[in-house]
Amino acid sequence: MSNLLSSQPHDSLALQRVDGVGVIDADHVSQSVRFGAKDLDILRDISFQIQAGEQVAITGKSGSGKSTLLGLLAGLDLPSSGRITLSGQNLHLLTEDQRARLRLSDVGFIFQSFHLLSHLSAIDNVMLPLTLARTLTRADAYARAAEMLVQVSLQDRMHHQPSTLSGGEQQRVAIARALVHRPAIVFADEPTGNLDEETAAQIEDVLFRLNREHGTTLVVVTHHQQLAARCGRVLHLHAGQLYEGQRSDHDLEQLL
Amino acid sequence: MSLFTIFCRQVLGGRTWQLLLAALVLAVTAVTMLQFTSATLLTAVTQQAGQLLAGDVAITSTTPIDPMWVKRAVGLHQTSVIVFNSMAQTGDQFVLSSVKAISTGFPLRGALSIHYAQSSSDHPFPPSGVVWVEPRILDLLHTTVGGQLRIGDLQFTIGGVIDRDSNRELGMNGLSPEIIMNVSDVSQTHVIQPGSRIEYRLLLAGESTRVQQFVDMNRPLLTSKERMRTATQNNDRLTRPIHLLSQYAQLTGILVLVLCGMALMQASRRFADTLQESMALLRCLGASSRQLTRIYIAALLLLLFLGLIIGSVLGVWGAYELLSLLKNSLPSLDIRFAPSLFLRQPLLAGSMTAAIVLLGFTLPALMRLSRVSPLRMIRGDLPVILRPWRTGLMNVMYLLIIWVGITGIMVQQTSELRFSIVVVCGLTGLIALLFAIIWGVVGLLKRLSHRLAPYIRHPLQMAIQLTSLTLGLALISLVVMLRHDLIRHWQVDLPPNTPNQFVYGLPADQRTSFQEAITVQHWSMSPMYPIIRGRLLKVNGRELSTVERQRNRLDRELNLTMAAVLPEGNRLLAGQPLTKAGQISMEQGLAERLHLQLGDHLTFTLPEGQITAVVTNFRSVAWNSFQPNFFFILTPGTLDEHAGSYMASFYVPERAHAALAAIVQQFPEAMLLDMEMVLGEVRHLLDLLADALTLLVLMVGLAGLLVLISSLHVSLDERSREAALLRVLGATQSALRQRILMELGLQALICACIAIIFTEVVAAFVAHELGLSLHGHPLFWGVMVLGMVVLSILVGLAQLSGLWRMRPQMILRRLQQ
Repeated sequence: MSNLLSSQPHDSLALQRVDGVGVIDADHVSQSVRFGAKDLDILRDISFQIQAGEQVAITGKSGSGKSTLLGLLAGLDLPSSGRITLSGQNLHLLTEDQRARLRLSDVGFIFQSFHLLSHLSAIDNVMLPLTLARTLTRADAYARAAEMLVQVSLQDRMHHQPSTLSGGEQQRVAIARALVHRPAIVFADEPTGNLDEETAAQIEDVLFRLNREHGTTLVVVTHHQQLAARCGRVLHLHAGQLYEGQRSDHDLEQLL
Repeated sequence: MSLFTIFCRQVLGGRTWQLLLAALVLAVTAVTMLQFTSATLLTAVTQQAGQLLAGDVAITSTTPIDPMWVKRAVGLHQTSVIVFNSMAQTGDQFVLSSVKAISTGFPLRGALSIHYAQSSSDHPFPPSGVVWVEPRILDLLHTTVGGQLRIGDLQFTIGGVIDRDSNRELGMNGLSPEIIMNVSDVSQTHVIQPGSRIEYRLLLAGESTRVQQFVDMNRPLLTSKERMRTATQNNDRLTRPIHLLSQYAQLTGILVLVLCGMALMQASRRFADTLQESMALLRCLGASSRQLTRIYIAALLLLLFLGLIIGSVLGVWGAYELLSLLKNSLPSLDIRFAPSLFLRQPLLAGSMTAAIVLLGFTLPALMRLSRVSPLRMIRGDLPVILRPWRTGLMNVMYLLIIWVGITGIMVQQTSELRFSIVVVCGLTGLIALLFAIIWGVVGLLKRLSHRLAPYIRHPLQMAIQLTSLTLGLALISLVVMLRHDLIRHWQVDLPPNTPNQFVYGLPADQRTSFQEAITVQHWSMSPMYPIIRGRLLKVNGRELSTVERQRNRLDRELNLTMAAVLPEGNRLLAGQPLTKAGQISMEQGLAERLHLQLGDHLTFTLPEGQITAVVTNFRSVAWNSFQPNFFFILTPGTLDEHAGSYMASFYVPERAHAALAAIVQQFPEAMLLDMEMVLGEVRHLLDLLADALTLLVLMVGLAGLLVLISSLHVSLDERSREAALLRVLGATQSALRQRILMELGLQALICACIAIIFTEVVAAFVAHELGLSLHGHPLFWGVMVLGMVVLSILVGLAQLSGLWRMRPQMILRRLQQ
């Protein structure tokens, strides 16, 4: 079944919300920004759920609001209206620090530009979430980070700094960092955007393999159709609204 | 690894922390060095309060001390001293010396330490026929300890060398080398004649209460010829120049502080920019704002601690160097370098400075950093400042904190609130004015010149950077310019045949024979002027106030003379020539300061009584003409010329030194002042002071350099991106280099031109106040413009050369990390 994420005439495209079940729950979420004298609507009345363990791709053309939506879901920002629940927590009711704590315990991030700290080694970068959380001793944190680097086949590059790693290797370190603290959810923002086709394919393999092994919920923002196709579910952003299923904007325009 | 360690690693990986530390260290160095120097000097003066006077109280007079004073001072320790100038001669060598004739008990306070000749034993004061001399006497007279020396009609044996005399004369007398003799020998020298400049002193010392009682009870009993000086009053003569020097030093310190602050502000901005992404990442991964605030505070404290330690060590070293330089120019002061003195005020001042400067100038940037949104990890285009009005308000608040902080530092250093506020307000106004001018110029250039517009990136930002640079350059130039003018003022080379000798104290009955002795040698000589010592008492029957006396230096005896014709170099400005007795001609400047008119009556007190004369004309005087010059000239016949002595100037060729020595021997009562020697001594003193000033200028220069480096640093990322893009698009290395150098050159040119205008205006004002000649400095303009352009380019090359040497791929890669 196809779903539409706002109350629109075409009910066949609407997503169904089931209260109280999803690990991520968006309820009538809208996001606008002030642009000069006008308000610009980026997201319009979106509602959906993502269940635990799902692998969801959010697609759309450039400027469609994918990254904006990702930021809202991860608690990096608050919507102009509506409600987002992450791991059962209503983000609107949390302070910025509380949202940070939630991210620390339940969320992992993978970015398009890798965003490794340039003056830390690979293993130190992977340890970063554990260092922030301070729930493990340094020895234990080190051991876990080392284990993650083995899982991404970088055991020989543990002490290398990002400047000496290739793009693919840096992204693998980022994947290890995203999973080292065993989060419930991993958000990936264009994880293969800066990589060539071959390397991108390798990264996708690593990402999905580890995601399955760790049992995390994966939300990937991408405009790569191939990557989106590997996810169990695709949500497509078009004109501020979210549509279920892998679609092109042309198809949607025809449909609407 | 802790979050703090992660933060430090990110910081240490860049170069901005070095700039931050350098600016902080320089600020602390400047403040502690200058504080330490001032504290040491003032401590020396305070501790040696009585020593400088050689007693607690001195009764002085130009005539022998009234014996009544000896009776009045019963119960206090007493000793007599006579101080006068005289020629000291050995063979054909002679030198004008400051002679101090002492008796038992000298000094009552302080120290007089003598290095005795091997043949003589220690004495509390020189025996009859023996003198003690300063080492310079031995050099100038080409003699040694044990040799002979003549003063007036008496021959003396040099019995020892003066190691240290805490009662060393100050001022012009201090320029002449010192000789100490027995007071009982004075009369036999026959150097003391009517009109001789001589001071009789009765030194007293005792328990402080008794001394104070004596002063309070007997001060009203002083006659017009007598003066009473206490140790504190005597210290004022020394503390005044030290106080001035200290104020100048504090001002320099504040300038260094402000420049370092500007460097810190720019460096911290870059610091925050480079860390934004890292901090956003940490926020994204779950670091709380409290965690991040804690590491910022820890980092600041670490920087503060390092800056304080390094700055203090350098400050102590700098103070040692400065004190060593000053020690030579203040021989009467026993300056002791005591590191323990540092632990009091200087360390406190340094700590306060470090804290205020660091917090005040870096806090805005760090606050920006603390407000970085984690959303930047996904939306890299997100601006950091989300509420501009709030940020603007906070920036105003920070500026106020800085302003108050710097004023506080200055008050703490100078203990003068009004002076501090005036200086800081002046600086603030100056910075605001410079900024307004520069912003206008930069904006205008961008709008009007298509060729220059590409080199002006962001007019406002550029204006802020250029203001810092211009201020630094202007201040350095001002200090260098004034130093140069001051030295030049005294480095006058005597034109050929300008009189190079002054004779004074010549008894009236020897005038004719002296004139003949000079004429026989075919040396040119000015007219001989009678000198009668007198003190201006009243104007139109009204006694001069203490303020008028002090301001115009009329609290001492003046040289009055008589002449029918105006001396060479004097020009009649108003009134009539002197025609009959009882008329007086005045120097124009002094007349204006005393608000005198033609026809006013001036009353003088003289050795033989009082006289009153009518102001008949005003004249200008060429004070630098090396001719006898006078503030007051009376009509011949008004005074008794036999009551004084005679003065003239004459020219002696270099080869005629032996002939001059023979004349000196012929006229033992006359004093000869060698102008070359005097100028040499003054130049020497000024050289020492100039060296001290150079040290201060160097600090200001370093601060200015830091400002230049930090301003380049701020725009490093933007330049890097632009350079990478241009290289990718096909720009050659040389084209890129040329573009950058053009931009730097333009900035340097703007800075230099505005700095030149500012410096000349201020220098003209200061020169006017100090009585120096007013003139432009065209050579400086060229040097400043060229120097600034070259320096900017060199620093720019050092900072930015990687941009055109590195492959574009590498630059982009580095920027992405």
